[in-house]
Amino acid sequence: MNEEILQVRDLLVKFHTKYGTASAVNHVSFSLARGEKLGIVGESGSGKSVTSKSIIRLLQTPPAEISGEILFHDTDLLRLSEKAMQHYRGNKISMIFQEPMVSLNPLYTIGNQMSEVLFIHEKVSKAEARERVLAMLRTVEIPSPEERLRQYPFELSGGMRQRVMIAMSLLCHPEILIADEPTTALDVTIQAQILDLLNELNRKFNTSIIMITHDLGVIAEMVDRVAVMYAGRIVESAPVKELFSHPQHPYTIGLLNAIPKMKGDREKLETIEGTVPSLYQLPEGCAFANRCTYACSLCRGNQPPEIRQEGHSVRCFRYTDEWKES
Amino acid sequence: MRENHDELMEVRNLRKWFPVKSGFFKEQKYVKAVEDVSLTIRRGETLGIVGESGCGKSTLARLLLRLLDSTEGEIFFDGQDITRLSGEELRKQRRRMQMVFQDPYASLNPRSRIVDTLSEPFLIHGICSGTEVRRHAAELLEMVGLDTDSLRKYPHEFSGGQRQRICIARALAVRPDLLVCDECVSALDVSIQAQIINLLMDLQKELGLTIIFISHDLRVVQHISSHVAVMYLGGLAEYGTKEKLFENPVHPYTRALLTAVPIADPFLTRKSIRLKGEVPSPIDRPEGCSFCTRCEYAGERCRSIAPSRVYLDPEHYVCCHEAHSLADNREAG
Repeated sequence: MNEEILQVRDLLVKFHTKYGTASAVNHVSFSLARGEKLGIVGESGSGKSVTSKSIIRLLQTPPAEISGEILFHDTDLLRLSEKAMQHYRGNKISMIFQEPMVSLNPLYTIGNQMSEVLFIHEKVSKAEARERVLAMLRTVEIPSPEERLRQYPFELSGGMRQRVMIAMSLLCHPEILIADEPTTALDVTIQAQILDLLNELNRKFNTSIIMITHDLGVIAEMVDRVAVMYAGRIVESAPVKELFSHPQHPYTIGLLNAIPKMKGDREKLETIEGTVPSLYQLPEGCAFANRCTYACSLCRGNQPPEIRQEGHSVRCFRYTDEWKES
Repeated sequence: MRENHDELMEVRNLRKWFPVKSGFFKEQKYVKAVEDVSLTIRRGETLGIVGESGCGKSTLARLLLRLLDSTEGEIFFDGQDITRLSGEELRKQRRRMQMVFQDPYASLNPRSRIVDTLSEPFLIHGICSGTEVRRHAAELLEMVGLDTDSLRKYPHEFSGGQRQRICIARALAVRPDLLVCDECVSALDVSIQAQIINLLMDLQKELGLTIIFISHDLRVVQHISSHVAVMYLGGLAEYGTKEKLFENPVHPYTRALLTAVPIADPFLTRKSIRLKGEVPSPIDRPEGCSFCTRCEYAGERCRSIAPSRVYLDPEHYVCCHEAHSLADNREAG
């Protein structure tokens, strides 16, 4: 694989609230290579969005308490001042969100808010900014871009708004694009268009993409490597084909079985019984133990170690030597 | 009165137009949310209705239960035209059809205990009273897989999946014949979604329910339905048994919709049909076929004349001028 441009090491995010302390992200480590598409998949509350927001430092501290290291090339983003961080945010690393209507400023025209990105990060003239904005709108296949420059976000459809967001995030040719559920609010036919677009941009600019989603279909279609999150931890991570063909963690296996297959008959779906533990009171042992059919006293009392084998890593006692012996 | 034991509901040429505010001298415009929909639903069937946002599937569901009044058309429920009913008669029929909504957080009263929420239907419809109510409520909870301790609790003490179970229990309290589920698993996580789908399918077997299942998620619809209707811009594009529709889709929109769903299998490289452009506004519907602006097969005729239904067999029809040639093509290919 190519050089690694991002390394997250032992990331820990806690929120101190009036109800207590919620451990949203617990010792998460992963890395991202140039041009690589990494998928982070998990259910609501698994910590996937918090992880991505801490990379780009969008979490308010307090209430959030972040520790660990986030190395972008050799710079630890967590140690930068807010001013220094602004040089990276939107420039080297940018992010698109689930709901494009909320992320665009309703009071500015598309042209205005897009060129603002360039004025902040680069020294450009107005004419130059306009040209680059137009060129980027064409790249994301927005019809009649000249007209769009004068329009306000409410005049565009959901799919168009997401295209504008993508165009905006790519204006400074970032090295990393974080896409947080970018297609969840869109219809399937529009989702397909946006996924195609992201794939194409990845090829064209060699931008690394971190794709955050709950949809395993999107993961299978898009990414090179997957990290599965559960209760704030990465429980399994592997290249996409390896993960779908040889899932190891009981949670991943359950998740894959729970999706209705397109060739589905009216059989019973397999389910994962029970619910996710509260982030305020995570168990001492494996967080999945209360829903896991294999769980034993070892799992309930201790954190499972990470077991690595050729790019496939899993956090589960089932694959330890102790388990195999007993 | 019409008599047919097999059919629970028959919908004929149903229309719903919402007037849009316009200037004094301007022509009155309408959002044509549902345009000329006809359907038959048999007892024990599960009809899946799929379509993208704004295609009118939720409006259709509300029309079927008369939560909205239709602009035109007839809805026969068990032989009786419910569009003409009112007062006591309507209430009697309503008891036989119930709805489960998308957002279980919003559809339970946060200030009443579960026992009160579940007793309300019994009291309103005068099914039972006194201590019996509590017993019935407890039975309902057991039926949807919750323990009876839950009766004393408030909605906020439950997770999303559990709340949706409560909503289902409430809908089943009056022993309806027809259950309409409007995106009832869309707000839930995959593992919880599977639990609710299984529950619905079990209950259907147990109680002989007829279900109308509305969703934008084709995978879920395919799993649960026996028949499927595809909606586009207020009208039905294609209707058929699940097998016909998913294995042999004919309408160009159905084909595109099916191939647009991402499949959770990285080994599959699929040929997909990508639709250009977006859905037109339901205020200014295109003349002719509503899909003609995005259709690769659209010709002169499609742009001027609205297609009528073409029956490929008694249980499969398509609203498309090219239906026969597309169907033949598919078989040849």
